[in-house]
Amino acid sequence: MIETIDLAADLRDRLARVREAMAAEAIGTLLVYYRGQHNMLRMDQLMYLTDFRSIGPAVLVVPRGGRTQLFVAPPWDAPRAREAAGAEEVIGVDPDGLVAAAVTAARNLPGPVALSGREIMPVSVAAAFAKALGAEPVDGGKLIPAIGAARTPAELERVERAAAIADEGFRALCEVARVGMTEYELAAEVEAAMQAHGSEDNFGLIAAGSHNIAIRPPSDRKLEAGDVIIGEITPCYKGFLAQLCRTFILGEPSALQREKFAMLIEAEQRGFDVAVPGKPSAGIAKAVNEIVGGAGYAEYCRQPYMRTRGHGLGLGGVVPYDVNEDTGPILERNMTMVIHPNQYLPETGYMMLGDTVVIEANGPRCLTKTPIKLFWKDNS
Amino acid sequence: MLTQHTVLKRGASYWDRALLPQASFTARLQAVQAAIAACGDDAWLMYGDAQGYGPVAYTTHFFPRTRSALALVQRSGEPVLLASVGLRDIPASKTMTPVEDLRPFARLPGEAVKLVKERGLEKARLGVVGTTDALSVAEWSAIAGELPEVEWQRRDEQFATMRAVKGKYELDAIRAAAAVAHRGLEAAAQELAPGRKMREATAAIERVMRYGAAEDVRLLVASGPQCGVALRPPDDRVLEPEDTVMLVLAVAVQRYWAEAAQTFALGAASADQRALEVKASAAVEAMTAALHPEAHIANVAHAAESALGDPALVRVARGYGLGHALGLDAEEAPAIVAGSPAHVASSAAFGLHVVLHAHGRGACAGHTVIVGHG
Repeated sequence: MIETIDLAADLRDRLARVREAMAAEAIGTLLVYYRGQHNMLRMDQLMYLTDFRSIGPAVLVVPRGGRTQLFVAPPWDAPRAREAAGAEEVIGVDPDGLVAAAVTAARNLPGPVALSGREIMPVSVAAAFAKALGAEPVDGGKLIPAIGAARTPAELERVERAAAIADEGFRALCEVARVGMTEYELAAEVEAAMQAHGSEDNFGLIAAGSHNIAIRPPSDRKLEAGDVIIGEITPCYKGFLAQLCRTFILGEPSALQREKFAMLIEAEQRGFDVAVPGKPSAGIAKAVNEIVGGAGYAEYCRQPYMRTRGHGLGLGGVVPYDVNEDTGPILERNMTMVIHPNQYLPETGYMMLGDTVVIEANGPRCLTKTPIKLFWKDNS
Repeated sequence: MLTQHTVLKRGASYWDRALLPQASFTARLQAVQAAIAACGDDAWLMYGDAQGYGPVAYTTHFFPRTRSALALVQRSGEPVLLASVGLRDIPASKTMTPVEDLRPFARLPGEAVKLVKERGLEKARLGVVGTTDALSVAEWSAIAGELPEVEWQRRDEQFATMRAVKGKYELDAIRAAAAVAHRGLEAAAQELAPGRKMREATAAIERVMRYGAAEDVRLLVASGPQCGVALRPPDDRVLEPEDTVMLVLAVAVQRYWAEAAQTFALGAASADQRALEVKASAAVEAMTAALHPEAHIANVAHAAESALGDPALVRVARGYGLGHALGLDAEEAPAIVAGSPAHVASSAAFGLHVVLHAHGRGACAGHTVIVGHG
């Protein structure tokens, strides 16, 4: 895919907004620590500012003015970091020397120093920061997620591409699923199809059974005729994730399965209807639960049967985070999220339906293009 | 070798009881309990996350696919496992572990504190394994803050010593992983071809390994001019007719890791390129020959560096590391480093690799070696 947005300009704009926030919070220098342990539900703040998806731990030193410095471990990964559009100066360091090197650089910069990444920081790294800084730094962990709540043009382009890859993954699932193959072989096919189309990572869960309790990782179970295959497919394109949830039946669906899946389609649509700027994200969960609960499944709209009705997705987990009835932020234009009325039902087991959307002025626009319907393969 | 961590372990997730029978975990549990008693501790809290799950998987065979897990092992009795899954995920999670008492958590500190108190250990002497380098400081502070009368003891070294010696079943699992890694290299010979994007080729290579029941697959590559610079995750570069391709792969099967590395020539390699490949292979073979039970790690490193000869090549190879023990974690102690005071255990597995860049060219070689018989 040829990217059409000026990425460097987009990154400069992100950095400028972070610096404005630093000024507002009276922060002189921000240290952004990233452990290298990528997580779908946690924002990669370092990549937000650099466009560098790290292999090992890294620290970005952001002074309120002047050049940023990116300290990267292991040192051999520094040349790749230098290719990143948002990396101004890159220094390769051994993991053991990472914190000391970054803090030494920060000593010559304006204070006070704020630190982001404490929530993912191992005990030993926190001790190294405390020792090197000599004082407890200001907590800067919430600064970038607030700024990165909505997608920039360059970010949105990547989420759209990730969504298209998710469609490709499900297309592969429909094409190759057959009786006798193991769940993990099916997952391997989906993975390969998405990687060939540009996916670099995937929060992918594929499971099957006649009555699924929940989505789970693929096992050595062999697919059987009539299996309900559920897939949570979440490819990553240049750091950005999009998710598609669908249900595929290895045979002709029963009338009951069709009926219950139609309820999920209605629930998703009701969720879409209230996913508009200015409304709380909690409204999506309420709208979905009204349909499912109204059909007599209220107790299944809670734990342990259901965790969330969606979540923010972009560069890892982003605002509005989990979509639940009790709490959630006000939706803004260009937020991206998955809305998924995935549901366990006692008659059919767990069925999945979910799409990645971008919130636009008049409501959500689906970025995943796979038809919103129940899929099946007739083996007869 | 360090590779790019994934957002989820998404490969084959099950317990192969023929490869790793229940009895193998009973033996490990007894060994840990003996170590707890030898240390004068009442119990150990053994923590692992998706990136490094060794401490928690050792007695439980459980590995967190994302986030983390914590096992409480007391001097006697069965362990208790806390896993970052939902209540609805427990039935599937239980198929992965011999541990009967498996409990979900949304937030670790609360459940860990509750468990310690439930077992009457709030004034006990507790060893901790894996917490310092993996557990977040926020979680650790919350746990320690709620248990002010516990006497905490770091037991990472004791655990490292214990797991450095691999049992028969562990070595069998590593062999299984190494066989899948070998299949990956065989696939690479077919899939790396001019005109193809690197990412398309590695997708096909990874597919083969995932068909081999891989839980996790990691790939680092370099092609064409990249070979003179550094390894990297697969990208969209289109392979060209005379390209050299460097491929380093790591794979986990039944929680156990193996790795392999090879250089592929898509056309006729130059004499200089072939010479570099010979150097890399010779260094790996020299290490392999030097690896035997009780060998000095420093001598193993020296064997590789002597084979390389050129100080510039030695410097590059050291940058990537020459190898390390492996098992439940992709990188375990000891690392093969010049001057290391460590010894090879009586029964162990090592991932050996030599990665070289010189004058715009590159080469790599590597494999997994079993030492002793478990």
